[in-house]
Amino acid sequence: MNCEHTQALLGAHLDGELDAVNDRELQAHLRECPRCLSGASGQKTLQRMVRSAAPYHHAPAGLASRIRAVLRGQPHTERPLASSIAPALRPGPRNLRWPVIAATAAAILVSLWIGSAVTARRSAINFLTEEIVSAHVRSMQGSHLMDVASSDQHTIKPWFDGKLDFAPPVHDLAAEGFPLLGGRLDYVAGHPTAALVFQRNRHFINVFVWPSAADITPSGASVERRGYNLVWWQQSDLTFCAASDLNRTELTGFAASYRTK
Amino acid sequence: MPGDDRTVGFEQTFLPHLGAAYNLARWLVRNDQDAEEVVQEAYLRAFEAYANFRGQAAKAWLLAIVRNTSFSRLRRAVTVGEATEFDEEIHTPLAMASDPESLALAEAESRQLTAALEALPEEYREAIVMRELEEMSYKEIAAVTDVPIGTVMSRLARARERLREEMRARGVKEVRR
Repeated sequence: MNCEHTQALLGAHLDGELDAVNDRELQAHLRECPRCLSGASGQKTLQRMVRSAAPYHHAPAGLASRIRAVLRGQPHTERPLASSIAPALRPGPRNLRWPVIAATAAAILVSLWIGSAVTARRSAINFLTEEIVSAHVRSMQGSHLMDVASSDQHTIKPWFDGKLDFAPPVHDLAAEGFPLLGGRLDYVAGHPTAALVFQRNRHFINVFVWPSAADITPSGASVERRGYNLVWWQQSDLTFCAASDLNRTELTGFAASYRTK
Repeated sequence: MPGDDRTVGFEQTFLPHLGAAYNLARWLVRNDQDAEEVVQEAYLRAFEAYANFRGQAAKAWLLAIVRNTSFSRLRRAVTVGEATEFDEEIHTPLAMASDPESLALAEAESRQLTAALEALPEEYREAIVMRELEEMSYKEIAAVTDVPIGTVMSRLARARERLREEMRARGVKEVRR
């Protein structure tokens, strides 16, 4: 066995994973090649070091019971919230992972529900607020602000067809100073949502739209979280939430214009 | 909430591997909160796929799902900086060192090692984590990563080589070639 071959098989030898024939040849080579022997001892040191000094990340306390709770909140148990996400279980090819996330989040919401109704509602709204801010931040950070870029509402609206089980109303507000840039599919707190993207000078606005669920629709009109403003409203049976780093007054104005379109 | 037989059977099979699931996810996504979410999501995915589980190696089956879920998460997370923060607090105490001086040395070594491991490409990092921390066989690692055993072997060899380079770059001298 030559040096190159020995180096390639050294790890497997130290791991006890080398077949008997190669292992014998490798050991014979190590006996007569000081360089490879030194390589072997270096590798052994590294291995020992990793095993003794690399942290083993232990699962946080309570994770097991949280998983148990999530498993018991599965959609097949037919709890109302869970069944409302059922359409998400017929995914298009693009959003295969959504049902899972949706189910997880729905299950979390369901498990929140089991406690006191008031607490559950508050946590759910809190959760929803956080989710929206996160979705907004995510869309700003990446290159994934839009799935469909168009200022034409007649291009964007049909684009959502077949991707969602509802049809979000799409309006361009260029005349009001909020040009429509495009739309994308997003996921917020157990719901596949339509996200519509608008611009105001150098600020972006995401409008998230999804079918209303009575229990978790915030009643307050606007809220600030982590430096972002959110404005909520209801229209027919859809919930809307505009999220932006735009100031509250302008964002409320935007929401009012959108609503009355 | 006792849960039905299916749920209980699932939990009995897979919850014992929660530690390994979390460790792998945490090494892949490199922060606590994401790791926890990934693990929860992975268990849910596993539960949905449980009908396809035929009693094969449960740990490898679960870790394959944890791994895929971690990668989806990583692809979704766009800020690299956010995920690479190094968290000293969570390091496990080093049992080997007793006096303060060697303890400090060991801690420094552990920090450098963690940084070096976290700097590796994911496929190298996961190979080392599964091999050295989970002490899994090549066959098990092959099952998790869905590659032939030979690939596991060469990947581990390259991973160790890269790790050695990373350690050298951080001024750790003990690691000879």
